[in-house]
Amino acid sequence: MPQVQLSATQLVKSYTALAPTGSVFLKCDFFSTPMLSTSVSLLERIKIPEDHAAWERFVHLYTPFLDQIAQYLRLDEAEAADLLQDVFLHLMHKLPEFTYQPTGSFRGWLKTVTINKCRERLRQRRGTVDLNNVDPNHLADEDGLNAFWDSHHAREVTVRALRLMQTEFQEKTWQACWQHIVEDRPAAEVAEQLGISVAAVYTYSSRVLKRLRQELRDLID
Amino acid sequence: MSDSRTCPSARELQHAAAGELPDEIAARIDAHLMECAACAQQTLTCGQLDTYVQLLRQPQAVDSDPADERIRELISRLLKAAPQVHPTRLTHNDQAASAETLEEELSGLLQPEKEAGQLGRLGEYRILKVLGAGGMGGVFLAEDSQLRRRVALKVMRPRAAAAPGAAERFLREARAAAALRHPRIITIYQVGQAAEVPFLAMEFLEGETLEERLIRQSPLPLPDALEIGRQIAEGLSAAHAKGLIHRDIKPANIWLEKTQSANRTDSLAIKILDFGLARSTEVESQLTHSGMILGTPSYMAPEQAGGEDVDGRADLFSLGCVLYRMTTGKLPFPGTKPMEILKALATVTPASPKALNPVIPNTLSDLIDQLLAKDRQHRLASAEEVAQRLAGIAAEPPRSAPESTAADAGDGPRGPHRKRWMLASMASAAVMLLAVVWIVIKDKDGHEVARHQLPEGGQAVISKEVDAFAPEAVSGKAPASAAHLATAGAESGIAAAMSLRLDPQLIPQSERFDWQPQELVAVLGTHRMHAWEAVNSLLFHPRGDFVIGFTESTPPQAWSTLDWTPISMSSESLDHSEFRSGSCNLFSPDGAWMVCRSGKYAVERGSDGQIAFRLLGKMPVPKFWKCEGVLSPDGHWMVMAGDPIGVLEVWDVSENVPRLVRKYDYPTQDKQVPFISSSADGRRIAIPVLNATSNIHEIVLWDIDWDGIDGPQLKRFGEPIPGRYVALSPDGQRLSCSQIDGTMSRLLDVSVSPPRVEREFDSGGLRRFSPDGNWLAISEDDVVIYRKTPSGWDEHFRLPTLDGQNRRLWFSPESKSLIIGDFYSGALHVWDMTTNPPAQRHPAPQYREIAFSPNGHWLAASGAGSFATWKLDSNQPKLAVEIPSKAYFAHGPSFSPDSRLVAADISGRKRVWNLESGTPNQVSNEDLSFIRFAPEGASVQSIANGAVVLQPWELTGQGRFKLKDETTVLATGGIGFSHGISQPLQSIRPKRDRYLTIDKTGSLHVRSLKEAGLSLFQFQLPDQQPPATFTLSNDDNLLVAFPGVGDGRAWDLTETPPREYQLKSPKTLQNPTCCLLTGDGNLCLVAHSRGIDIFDWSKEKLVRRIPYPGPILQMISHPDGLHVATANFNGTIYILRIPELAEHTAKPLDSHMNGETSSSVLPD
Repeated sequence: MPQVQLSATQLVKSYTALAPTGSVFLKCDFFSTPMLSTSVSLLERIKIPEDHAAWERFVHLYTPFLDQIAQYLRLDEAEAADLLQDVFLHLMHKLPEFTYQPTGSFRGWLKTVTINKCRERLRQRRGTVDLNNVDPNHLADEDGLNAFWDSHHAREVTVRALRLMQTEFQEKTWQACWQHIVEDRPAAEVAEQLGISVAAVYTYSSRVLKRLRQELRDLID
Repeated sequence: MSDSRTCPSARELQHAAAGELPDEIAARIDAHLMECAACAQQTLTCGQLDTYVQLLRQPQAVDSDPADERIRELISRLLKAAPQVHPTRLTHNDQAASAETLEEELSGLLQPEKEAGQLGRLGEYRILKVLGAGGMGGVFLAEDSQLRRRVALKVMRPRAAAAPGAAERFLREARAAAALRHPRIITIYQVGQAAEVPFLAMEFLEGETLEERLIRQSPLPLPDALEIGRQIAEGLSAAHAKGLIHRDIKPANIWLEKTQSANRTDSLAIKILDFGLARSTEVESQLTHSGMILGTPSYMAPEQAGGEDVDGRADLFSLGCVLYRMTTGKLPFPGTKPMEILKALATVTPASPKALNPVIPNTLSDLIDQLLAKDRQHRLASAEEVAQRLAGIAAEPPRSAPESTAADAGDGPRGPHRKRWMLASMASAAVMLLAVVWIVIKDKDGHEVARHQLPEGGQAVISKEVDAFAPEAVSGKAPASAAHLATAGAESGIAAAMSLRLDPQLIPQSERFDWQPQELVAVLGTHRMHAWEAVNSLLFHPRGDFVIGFTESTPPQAWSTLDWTPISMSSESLDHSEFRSGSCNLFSPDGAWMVCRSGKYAVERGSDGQIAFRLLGKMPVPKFWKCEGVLSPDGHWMVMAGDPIGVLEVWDVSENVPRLVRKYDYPTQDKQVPFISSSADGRRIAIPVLNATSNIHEIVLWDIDWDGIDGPQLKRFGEPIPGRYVALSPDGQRLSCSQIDGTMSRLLDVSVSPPRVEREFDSGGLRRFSPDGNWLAISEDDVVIYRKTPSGWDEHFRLPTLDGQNRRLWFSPESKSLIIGDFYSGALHVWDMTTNPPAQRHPAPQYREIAFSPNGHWLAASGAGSFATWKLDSNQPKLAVEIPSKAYFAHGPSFSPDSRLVAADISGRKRVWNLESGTPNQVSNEDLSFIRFAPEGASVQSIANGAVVLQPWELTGQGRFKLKDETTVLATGGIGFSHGISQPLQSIRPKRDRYLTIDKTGSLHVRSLKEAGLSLFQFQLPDQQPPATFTLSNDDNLLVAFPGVGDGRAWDLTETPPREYQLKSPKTLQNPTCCLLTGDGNLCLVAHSRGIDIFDWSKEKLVRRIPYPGPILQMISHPDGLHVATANFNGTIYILRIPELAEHTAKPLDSHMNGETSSSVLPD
C-alpha cells in the first residue's frame, strides 16, 4: 500500500512538474499521460493496453462510486474491496475484447458487470452466513440497485472526475468551477472570493467542464 | 470592462465550448470570454456543457472526497492487486568525468588519417579500429605499413603516460616481455614510443579471451579446463625461467585462439596476454614501491595484495583462481568491492572445488586448493610441476558417481512396495550434460505422469535405486552453463528416491547471492523470467547474446537469448527515468554503444558477464514524453520521432555528445502514438499518429536519405494510411496495419504510391514482420503467424495465448524465435519458430504467494501462470503438482491444519487437493467460495464488518471436500481482505485470545478474541504512518510493526504501559512486506525491498541484513523454525536456512500438528 501511495504522489509531482503554470491544455501531451491528454477520452485510453496510467486513473475515478454501491448493499470493507477487485479485474480482462462500440454501451456494460459481481458476492454470502446486520430482503433488491445506479452514477463519477482534475488546473481556475457549479454559488460571490472577474468565473468554469467532458466522453454522456 | 471586438455568435460559442474550433479562433474567443461575462455565461449553459452543469448541480447524495482514507486505501489495494511495482528509482550517477574515451584522448596525437577506413597513424602503424580500452591504455587493430602485417597495437593513454615514470615503466616491462618467445605467450614485435605515446605491437590473434568464453559457458567442460590450465602453466613456466612474473593472470589475459575445430580439446591453443605488469625479478625498480597495488584483486595472491615482493608463486595462486573459476563457475573470492575481495584473500578459505561441482576429481580439487594456499610455501614449487600435475589428471580415467548419491537416495521412507528403476543413459552420474534436462516420469503403462525440467544450475543425480516408473531424459537446446547431474524419483511412496540437489553456487550468473551460500537451501521456479511489469519493448543486442526488456516504470531487465536466464546490468551512470520503454533506446550497429534520449552510453560486458553502461555524453534531454527512433546503418545518425506534437528530429550521434541537426514537423498538429516500425536498413519508417483534425489514427511513411549532403534528409512518402498498429517489412516494401479496434487490418504494397492493398485480414492489433521477412505475426485473439510463400502470405499457425489481444510481439534478430509479451502477467513467452508447429519454450511461472504446510512437509505457491506444490522430502523440494494457470493469477495456497489438504484459487476456481497419498489429488467441486484454512480446522472467510467466520468442512465418503452449512463468527473488527493480501488473516493467532487489526487512522489494535473484539491496546507508528506489516509473537506478548518507510517498532505487552522498542536499520528500511518473530520471540525478521533484516528487538539492534537481488513479496517461516521461504520479485522462491535462528527455535506454544511433530525436513 505505501508503495502505491508513494508512486501516486510521484506521478502527480511529475505531472505538475511538466505543467508550466497557467497552461491548461498542455502541448506536451502524449499517449501515457492521464492528465495531459486533450482529445482522447479516458474510455478510449483504457482500451489501449500500454496505457497504465489511464487504467490507474480509471480505478481512481470509479472506486468511490463502486464503493457506494458496496455500501448500498451493506457490504463491509473487506467485502467491498473484494467486490471492487472482482469488477476491476473483470474489466481489465474483458476491456480489450470490448472493442469500440456505439456510445453508451460501455456504461451499460459496466453496470451489468457490477451488478453481476454484486449478485455473485451476495450469493456467496447467503450461502455461508447470516449475520444480524444483513438484511437479505434488501440484498435481493436488484431493482433497488439498478435504481441506485441510475440515480447516482453520472453525478458521482462526474464529481469525482472533477476532483481528480484539480491538480491539472491552476487553483483559481478549478475553484471557480467547483464553487460556482458544484457548490452552486453565485458567480459574483465566487469572483469576489477568488479575486477574479465574473466573466473569468464563467470562463474558467467552462474551461474545466470542457476538459471534463473530453475525459468522460462515452462514460457519462 | 468592455471589449472592442464584437461578441461571437451563439453558434460560435457553442463550437468553442465543444472544443471544435481551430486554435487561433478558440484563443480569440477565449480572450473575449475573459472580458465578457455575458458570453462566458452563455458558453457555460449552452448545450455542450449544460449536461455537466446540471449533473454537478444535483444535490450531493454521498460525498466521495478523494481525501477519504477508506477510498484511498481501497484504491491503493486495488492497484496493488494489479501487477504493478514501483521500485525506488535509482539515483542518477553522473560519471561524465570518466566518459572520455581512449580514441578521444588519442585523437590529438594520432597523425591525421591518410586513407578512408583508418583512424589515423601512430609511427609506422595505420590504426584501423579500437579493439579494447582500459583504464591505462587501449588496444587497436593496426597495420604495419612497412610489412603490411596486421598487429594488435597496445597504446598507453597519454594521460596515464604523463604520470612520472609511467612511460618508462611501460616500456621497460614491454621490453622484458618482448624478450619472451614461447608458443603460449603472445609475441611482441616492437616496443616504441611515437608522439610521446608509448606503445607495443603484438601479434594479432583471432579468437576470444577465456573471460569471454567463461561468460558464455561456465563451468567449462573438465577436459577443456584441464587443458587450458596446463597450457597456462607451461607459458608461466617459460616466463618464470627468464625471471619474469606475470602478476596479473586472469581469464581476460588468456587468449583462446580460434582454430579449425575450436570445440575439440586437442586443438585448444592459448596465449598468455599482457605481460604489462610483469617485471623483472632481478631489476627491482623504484617505480612500484609506492605501495600501489597492481593486479586484479579477484585473482591476486595474498602476498601481492599485501604489497610484498612476489615471485612466480604469485602467478600460481592466480592460476589456481582461474582453475577454480573454470571448474566451478565461481570465483574463489567473490566480491564486488576491491577491499572486500582483498580482505577475503587474506582471511577466507574458499570451499573446495569438488564441493561445488562433484564432477571435479579429488586430485584436481586438491591441486586447486593447494595453489590457493595463503602461504606461498604451501603452494606447488613451480609452474612446471603444475603443468605436469594437470596433465596427469587429464589422463586419469573418468570418475564414477559421487558416493553421496547413494546416501541421498537412502533417505526417507522406503515402502515395501518399492520397485526399482534405473536410467541407463544417466547411470553414471559424472556425465556432463550440456543440455536442458527434462525428467519425464511415466507410469507402468508408459503414460507420462509428470515432467519436470531441471532448473538452470540444478543438478540431478540418478539414484541407483528407483521405482518402477521409467524416466526419460530428453535433451533440448544447449544451455549456457552448468553440468547437470541427474536425479530422479517418482511420485507417491518413493518420493525420497528423488534427490534433486540444487547447488546454489551454480545458479545462473545474474543471481549472485551476497549472503552466505550455505544459507540457500533451494531455489524454486524457473529463474528464467523477471518481467514483472509488462515489457513494452525488447531491444536485442546486435552482436551479443542478450536482450534488454523495457517497461514503463520499472528498471529494465536483461536476459540471455540463449537460455533466457536473467543477466544483471550495472547501469549506475544511466538516468533510469530516461531508460524506459519509449525512451528511444537504440544499440549502435556494432553494439558497442547505446543511445537513449538521455545520452550516449558505452555498452560493456564485465568480467562476471554483467552488462555495464558507461556514460559517454549526455544529450540535452528533450521535454519529450515518449519517443522512438531509428539509427542509420553506419550508426552515425539517429532520427527520433516523438512528442511534442509530431516532431521528427535528426541527431548526429557519431560523437560522444549527440547533436541535434534539424527538425521536421508533421504537417498538422498530429501526435505520434507508440510503436513505430522501420525497415531493416532504416531508410523508411512508419509512424502511427493521431490526426488532430479528424481524431483518427493514421500511419505516416517517411523515407530517409541517410547519405544526404548536410546529413540525413527526410521526405514524406505518399498520403497517410489509416491505421494505428503498424509493421513495416524489412525491405520497406510492405506494410501491414490495422485500426485500434482491429478493423482495416491489411497488408499493403507500399513500394508504389498510392499503396496497393494486397490482402485484408479479419482483425488484428499489434503486428510484426520477422527480420528475415518470412513471417508476419499478428495479434488477434490468438497470435496468428503468416508465412511468406511465392503466392502470398499463408496462415501458418495460430499460437494459443492467454489474454486476448494484449500483447507485444518481437522476433529475435535471426528470426528463429518469436517472443510474446503477455501484458497482464508481464511474462514473456518464447516460441521456437524453427519447429513446425512452433513450440513454446520456457513458460515462466512467477510465484507470489507461498505457504508451508503445518507439518513442514509441503510447500505450495501460486502466482502468475502457475500453482505448484512441492514435497519437502529429502534434500530438495520436489515438485509434486504444477497447474499452469492460463488466466491472470492463481491465489493463496492454504493448508489445512492437519496438512492433509491444500487449497488455492486458480483462474477464479477454488480447488482443494488431498495430499495424503503423496500425490495431490483434487477433491473439490468447482463451486466453492474462497477457502483459507483456519487453525481450528474450518475454513475462514472474512465477512460483514470485518468478522471472521469459520465454516467447518469435511471429506465425504467419496473423499470429496465439502463445506458444512454452519458457521461461527470468530472475531470482528476489520480484518481486511479475504484474498490477494494474506497478511491480515495471518495475524489471527491460532488458539490464542488476541488478534490484530488496523483502523482507518493507521493505528494498530490488539484485540481480544474472547471479548468480542475489545481493543486491548492501541499503537501508532511515528509520523502517523500506517503499518505496512505487523505481527504478534506466539505468546501474544510482543507486537512488532513496520511502516512503509523507516524504522519499525516493537511493543512489549507484558508491561503496563507497553514498553516501546525501536528497530532501526542503518540503511533506511523500505517497503517491508512481511515480518516474522522467531519461535522464542526474541528475534524479529522483516522482509523488505533490499532483503531481510534480522533484529534483536530487546537490544534494539540489527543483527544482520541478508541482502537480496530484489524485493521480497512474501516471507514465511518453516515450522522447524530454522528456515524461511521467500517469494521474490523475480518470481522465484528461495528457501533459506538462517543460522541465527538456530538458537531461537522454541516451538510454537500451540501446535496444530494433530500429533505430528514438525521436524526439520530440510537439510542443514
